[in-house]
Amino acid sequence: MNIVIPFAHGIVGKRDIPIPDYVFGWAAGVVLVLSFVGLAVLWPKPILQPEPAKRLCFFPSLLVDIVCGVIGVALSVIVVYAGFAGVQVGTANLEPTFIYVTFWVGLAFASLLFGNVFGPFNPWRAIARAVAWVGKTVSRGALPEPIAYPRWLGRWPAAVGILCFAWLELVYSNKDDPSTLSVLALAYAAIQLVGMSIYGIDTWTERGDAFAVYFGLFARVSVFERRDDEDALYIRAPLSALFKLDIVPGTVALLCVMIGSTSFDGFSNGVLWNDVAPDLQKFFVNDLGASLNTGLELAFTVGLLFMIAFVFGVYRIGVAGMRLYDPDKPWLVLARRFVISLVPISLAYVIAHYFSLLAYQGQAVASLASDPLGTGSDLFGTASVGINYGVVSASGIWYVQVAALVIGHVAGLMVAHERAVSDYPDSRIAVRSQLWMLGVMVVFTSLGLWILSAAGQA
Amino acid sequence: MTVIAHAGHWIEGGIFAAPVIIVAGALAVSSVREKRRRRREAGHSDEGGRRS
Repeated sequence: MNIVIPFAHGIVGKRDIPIPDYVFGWAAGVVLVLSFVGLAVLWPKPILQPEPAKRLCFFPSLLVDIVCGVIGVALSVIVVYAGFAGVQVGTANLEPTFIYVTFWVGLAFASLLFGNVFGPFNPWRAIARAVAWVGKTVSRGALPEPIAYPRWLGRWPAAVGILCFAWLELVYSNKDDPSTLSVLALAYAAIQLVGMSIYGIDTWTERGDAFAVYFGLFARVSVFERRDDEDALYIRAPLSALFKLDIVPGTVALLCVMIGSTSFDGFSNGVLWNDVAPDLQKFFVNDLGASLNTGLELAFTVGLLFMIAFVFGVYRIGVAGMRLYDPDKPWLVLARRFVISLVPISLAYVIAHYFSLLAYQGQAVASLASDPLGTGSDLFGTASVGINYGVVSASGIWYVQVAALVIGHVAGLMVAHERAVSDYPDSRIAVRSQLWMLGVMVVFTSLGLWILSAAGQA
Repeated sequence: MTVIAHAGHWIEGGIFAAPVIIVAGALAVSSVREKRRRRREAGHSDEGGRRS
């Protein structure tokens, strides 16, 4: 029986590091402990709330939304059209690279650097706003009011959406098929338009649009913020916008899916998973009668769900430990209060795991833009531009990964500490309760570095 | 069970877990102390209640 392990995701060559990988893990643990001590001594009161912000410049919100919305819709149409009309080869068609690299990874990086970039480019939101504007004009403002969004639904649609996308990217064997991606993109757009028409454009975008919620969370780490009521761009303290996040049901699940799926992406490239997956596949094929391909997909589905459950379990233990110092608060209340500390961690995981993909595969967009259908056209004269693998070395990637994980987890500690000193009047209780969050951060840092180290050796 | 046969990789990767083990130990000690402190405080308040 041929057992196949597909999907090598990031490309990492041989590293030339003078010390063993695990020493970086130990050093990261020391940095986290020192950061914890530093926070306990130097950060006795909340400093990120209320959000410190300063007006930077004029920002024409409506004009930007219109121009970017048109660009977003046009790009979506081109990409979906390329998926249907172009060659059905993942590497030769623009669509897979655009969706998995430019959109999924590139926008996460852009959200950190520039704030909520996806908002104005969001094609579904742009279409809905244009339709609503036309409807209001034609009916002279007599459009029906949207239905109130159920509180219990919270960010569950976004959590399910990100889980489905992660499954598509990490498990589904046909994930690079352009026409399949186009069908799925249209289905997703249809769901968003229905959701916005029922619950309102802004409400659905903030709760139900998986990608808007995903990039919006990362944008809260950024220093840039647009304020539409003032037509102004503000600069604020990094991380401070996280404290304005409305923590609704599904937020904890969403963050666990985000971290767990990224972890599984790295884990599935490692030696351990490459040993375990064939056995799982054999179980599904031999014992349950699945085909080879379905057996492999089932094995990867188990791995993905296991990793998400593991992340949830670690956070669950951390919050349970915090309850020792605040036994009157139910577990779920504490879990929701501190879940914003997982946002920098999730972002750190994205940067660490996908930096190499963006650095290498991101270059392919130049040639694919000139030949989006893969039919040999050269629209911009860049069709022959290749990928320069010397742009960053394997060692350079490793250092970026380590730095991202350490900075991200220290940022997570800072957010949790800020929350604790604002929630607990006794600063000693605040600090003691955060010992457990330190434990969570150390686990996630060690896990991340172990996964990346193993992926580099596979 | 074939999956268990791969435990060697877990052990090899376990060296990364050293900081986790140390922090977990510190958390266990701090939890026990906190529980003892709470029991002591509860005992004192009971005594105080009986005296009054």
